[in-house]
Amino acid sequence: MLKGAEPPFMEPGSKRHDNALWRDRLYGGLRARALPLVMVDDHTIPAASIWTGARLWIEAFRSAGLERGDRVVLALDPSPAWVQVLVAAIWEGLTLIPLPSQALRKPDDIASTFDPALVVGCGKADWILGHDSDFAPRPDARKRETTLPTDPEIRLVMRTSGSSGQPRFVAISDENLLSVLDSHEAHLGLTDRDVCLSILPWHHAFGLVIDLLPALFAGATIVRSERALRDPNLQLDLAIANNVTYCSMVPLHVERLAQIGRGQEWLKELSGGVVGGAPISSHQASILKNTRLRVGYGQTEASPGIALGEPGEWHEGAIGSPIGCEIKLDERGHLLCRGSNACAGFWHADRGIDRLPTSRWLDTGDLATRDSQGKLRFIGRADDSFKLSNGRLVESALIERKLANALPEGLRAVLLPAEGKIDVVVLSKSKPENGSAESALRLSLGPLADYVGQVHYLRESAAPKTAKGDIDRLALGANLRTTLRAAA
Amino acid sequence: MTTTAQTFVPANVLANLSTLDRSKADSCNFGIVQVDDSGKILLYNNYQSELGGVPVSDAEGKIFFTQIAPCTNNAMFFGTFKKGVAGGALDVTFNYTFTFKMKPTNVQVHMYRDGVSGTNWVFVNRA
Repeated sequence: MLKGAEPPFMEPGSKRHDNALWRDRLYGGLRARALPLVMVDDHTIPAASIWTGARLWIEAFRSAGLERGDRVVLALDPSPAWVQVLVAAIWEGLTLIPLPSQALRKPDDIASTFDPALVVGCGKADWILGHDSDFAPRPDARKRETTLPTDPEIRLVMRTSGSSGQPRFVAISDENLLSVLDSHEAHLGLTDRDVCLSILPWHHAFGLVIDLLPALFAGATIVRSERALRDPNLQLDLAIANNVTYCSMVPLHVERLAQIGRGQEWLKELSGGVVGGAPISSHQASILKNTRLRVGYGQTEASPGIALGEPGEWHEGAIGSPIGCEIKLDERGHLLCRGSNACAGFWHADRGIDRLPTSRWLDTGDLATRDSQGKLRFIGRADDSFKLSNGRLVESALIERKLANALPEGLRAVLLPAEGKIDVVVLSKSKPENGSAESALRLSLGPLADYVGQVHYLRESAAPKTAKGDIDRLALGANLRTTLRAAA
Repeated sequence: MTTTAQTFVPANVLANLSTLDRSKADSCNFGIVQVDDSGKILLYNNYQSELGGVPVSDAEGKIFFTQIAPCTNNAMFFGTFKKGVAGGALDVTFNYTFTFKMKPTNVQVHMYRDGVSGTNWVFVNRA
């Protein structure tokens, strides 16, 4: 990381010096430099202008009366202003809550959920701070009166993906954040010669902590187009036009890129990047095995980095090796981690941040196993488990894994709770044949077969997916119930 | 990056760069910086001087990409210039954010090498 002297405009002895570690990195890494360079859609901003822009935001925050620990919601689309606000908020020791810009359609909800002192975005309330065409803050916002306590050590409050239940808001401290950045830095191997294609959301922990911040601190060039986020062809065009060397993504991106002609070759040409955010399927692993991309395993509750794989080391359910923390499997097969990455606590709209012990084992809620070579494999989510009417626990992930070996090639089963029984959805890559897996399914389920209600057959491509590409079990169950009601 | 099709520089200026002197450059309402093949500033017009807050006398003779506008010392800006000069063809326009008078300012940039005179130009316009 780049180092630099303390900036001359800071008041010696002020409490703002508490954040010296961050300030050293930000000042040394940005001021008067040409790199990092951030290219977002039609805007290209070098480090020097990120720095001077951040100073304007710092002045605006101070003018509005913000103090260390005050909560600031950042609800802009990715832009130079987004990066400047990020730098300014970290510099000032504010607690930043990045949200998608659409969240500001309901500003009262933001106020009641986060009790923020200020919101950066587009809106009419006097506690919403906007910017001009040069991304400089408009000098007309005032601090909102807040009621919930602040926590000056909390740097970020970030939403979990909610792919397995209700989303939660995770409180990430300076220690959490710096621990993950420092432990991942050497492994990611980013340098100022890298050009990074940014396709992950910046308001998610993976996109911000594992992708954007390491690239900024490495002095890399970051290329992003909001128009290209959902279009793999545009992503490739952008990557090729800018000589992209590095790209982090979720497994769904891998699949989509591999489906277009140049995509698979381009993935092989990348010098690095992290694939994470969702489990790796055998198909995705086969696409990735000849690349220099590596698996990244974690969750927002772990700030969010837990493990990284080696470049090109891929297998179904790949997790990699722990980075900056220790991990273990408990007697139930849950994967636990312990270290400075374990989040400082959770945000609650009614009382603020509930702190958690820093030395605890964090239960990821993921089920994993070690293979014969000692490598960890992800099996599934523990909270996909459910109980039968007789109280017996159905550990879906473990059973589905067993079924995957028993069912004919190209089929997989998903177990869903159905009023004390089990509904089974058999997913197939090609057109499903009803009844084709019934006997193998029942044989493999053993005594549990007595609790099977309906068996449904569905083409895998027709199954609802989460944004990261997992099967959306809640939506799948709801769809089945709707279909059954209509049929009745 | 795009080529001259999207430039803000009038065609008559581009067509007569071999005769563009200081008074003509100062009459233009956009920034004009002439540099040699190493990036040393040969001409810095009044508009650019006022935009950047750098007196003409302080700018001329310095290396544009490292001493006057160090924020351009990257592959995208200076690298493109060097590649263009080495190849004898430079004609790109792009958006950039300079810091002028301590405030980030969005500009359009057109870097151009005049094939007739063998001179290099950086044109800057407030976006």
